[in-house]
Amino acid sequence: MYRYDEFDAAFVRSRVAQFRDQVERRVKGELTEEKFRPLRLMNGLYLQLHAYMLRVAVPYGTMNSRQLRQLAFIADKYDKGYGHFTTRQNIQFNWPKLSDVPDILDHLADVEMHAIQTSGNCIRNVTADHWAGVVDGEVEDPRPVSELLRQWSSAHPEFTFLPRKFKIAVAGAEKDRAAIAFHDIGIKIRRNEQGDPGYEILVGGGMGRTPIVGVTVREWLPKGEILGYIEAIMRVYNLHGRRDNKYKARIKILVLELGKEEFTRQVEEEYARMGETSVQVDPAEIERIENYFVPPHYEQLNDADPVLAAAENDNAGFAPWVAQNVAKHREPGYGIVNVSLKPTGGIPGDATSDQMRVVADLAENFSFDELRVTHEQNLVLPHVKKSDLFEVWKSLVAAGLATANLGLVSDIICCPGLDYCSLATARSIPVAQDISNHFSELERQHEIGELKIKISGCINACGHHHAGHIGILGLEKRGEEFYQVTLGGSGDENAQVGEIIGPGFSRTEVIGAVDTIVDTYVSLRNENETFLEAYRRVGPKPFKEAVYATH
Amino acid sequence: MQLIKNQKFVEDGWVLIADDAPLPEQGKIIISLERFNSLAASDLSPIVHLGVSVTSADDVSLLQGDFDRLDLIRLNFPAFTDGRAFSQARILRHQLKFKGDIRISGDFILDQVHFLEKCGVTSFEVVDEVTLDDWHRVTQSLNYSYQPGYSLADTRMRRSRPAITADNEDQELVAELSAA
Repeated sequence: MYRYDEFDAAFVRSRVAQFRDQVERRVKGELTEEKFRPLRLMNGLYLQLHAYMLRVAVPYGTMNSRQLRQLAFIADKYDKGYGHFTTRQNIQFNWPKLSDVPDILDHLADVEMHAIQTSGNCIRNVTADHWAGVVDGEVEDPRPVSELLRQWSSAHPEFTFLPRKFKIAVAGAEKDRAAIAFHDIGIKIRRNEQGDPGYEILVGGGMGRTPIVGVTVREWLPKGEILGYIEAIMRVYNLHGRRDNKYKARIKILVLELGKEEFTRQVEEEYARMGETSVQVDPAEIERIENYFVPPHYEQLNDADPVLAAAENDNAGFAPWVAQNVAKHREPGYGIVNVSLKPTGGIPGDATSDQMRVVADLAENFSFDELRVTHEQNLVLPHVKKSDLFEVWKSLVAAGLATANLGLVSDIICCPGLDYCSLATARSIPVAQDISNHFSELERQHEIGELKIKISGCINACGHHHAGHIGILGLEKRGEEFYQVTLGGSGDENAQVGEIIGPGFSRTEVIGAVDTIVDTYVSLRNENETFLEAYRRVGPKPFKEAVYATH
Repeated sequence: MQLIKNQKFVEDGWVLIADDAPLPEQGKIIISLERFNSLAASDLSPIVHLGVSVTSADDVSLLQGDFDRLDLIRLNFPAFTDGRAFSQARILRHQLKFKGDIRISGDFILDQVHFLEKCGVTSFEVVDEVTLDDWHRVTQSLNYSYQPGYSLADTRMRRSRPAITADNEDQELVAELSAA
């Protein structure tokens, strides 16, 4: 994985010192909260319902064991012993003190981490496929270009006071695990007709109160032109994005109002006007970055492993976990281990400091010292030998991290909601917990099959409910929480915004509604048909009828 | 209001002329873009030094044909969160090679100054009480940049990683501006 050179390290330290000075000016009263706000946000610091919240960047979701141990240390020393992994592959600490934050940032810098641009109206932490570099069918690893974009966007002189936040995601394969169509810019690595790898560029996707699937503005861009082309998009947005209404300030609204053709024309015009030489990437720098992402030294193994087969026979819980949570690795004899942060009745994405240390040890001992954070709020040990799976599983079981529910009904994406967030209109965590408890029987979950439930506690949609096969949006009416249900959303390569099925439900009703939807699917599905496939075949009607007949 | 240029307080020799005030025959004057656009060449005294003040919504590239007559372009922050002036400065300095003074007015904050300099801004209208020590400390607090293509007009030429090679013409312009 990427390692800082002296320059990166010095940049981050310099940024911490700068923020330390800003905090001091704030404490002394030289900076008003209004003027401090964008500065702290650009360093990942939010003011939440009960306390400050610090969001730490995990660039494209990749970490090593030392970094995860440091996060555990921070959770213990400055927080309440846990952290929350987010849908943007980051981690949040919910209880830091303002005066401690510069020290926390120094601790992060010690392990080549930071909280730069995890918030604010700037280019945010770049996300990528969490199975990058290990999954079959990849054109190229999306992380080198993500790292290039991380550097390019860090403290960018021109694009740090944008109309609104700006999110970029990169997918390296046809199969999209990064939800690129729901980002301000989505980048898909693909080959042109000549077979050369390049980038398809999508713009204007997003969730929030106006969910939109992004549109392709360039079918194929040569790799060397990426920074220039992104710069052109950013400049058009910075100059013409709406600043009169923060709810209409995202780039998706600009694309919507101008139309795809006119927006694309403006970008291409700007790109042509910029000239070729202003943002050429030095090939040596690209090579330096790419060298950090070459595959580790795998052993030559047979794909079938006798140790694994024996363990699967002897241990009741092990085989289902392997079947559900271990994905196919491109290298024979290895597996991609997905560590579920969705235990029955738990808080999606939360991990205790002890759990972090367990995963860090496993990454160090069994996965070439590498792990990933997924946008679905789980962790990944990307390269585990099949012969080691049983050992890994036992450690995960002991730590409460071996729930065999990846991609199943209890593998819920959920925002912090009204339990933490100052923007929330309803609680989301208790709904996730109720659903998880309701479907606690794993056998039933396996029977139901792949089903992605996503829950947001307000219209900002941090819980990605628009992209949920079943989406749940928490709202508030006359002091009461109620929940709107959408069906058929999807964040993959066939991205789609879910459709609202009808009037909302109370806290107590919503679980029953989900249950009825699931039962309806099970009763009408064809053989091997997933929930989403069935929904796309039959549409919302049978679900609506069933739900509103009983509620 | 005080003017800071090249990290120092300087005497502001420029006068901002209201749209309804008569045009002076000499001196250094700044007029609004609207007024500038309504004037014929003959309306202006040939010995007057001319600056134009634009809003954040104006398309600065339309000024390109007038660069010969303009010694100064004044940009504005209607709110410090409104970052359009960064791109306006970048376009003027980098794309269109404007060689005069690019001045910032309005609600910008100290922490934006080093970014503005990188985009090509050369002078700052400061309204808040600020000491030169504060100015130097804050505007020079981030000494590293991943965008060497943006080092234009930043005469301190801080270290930057050559991830992106800067345009040679820019380097020449930097040298020129530094010498000026």
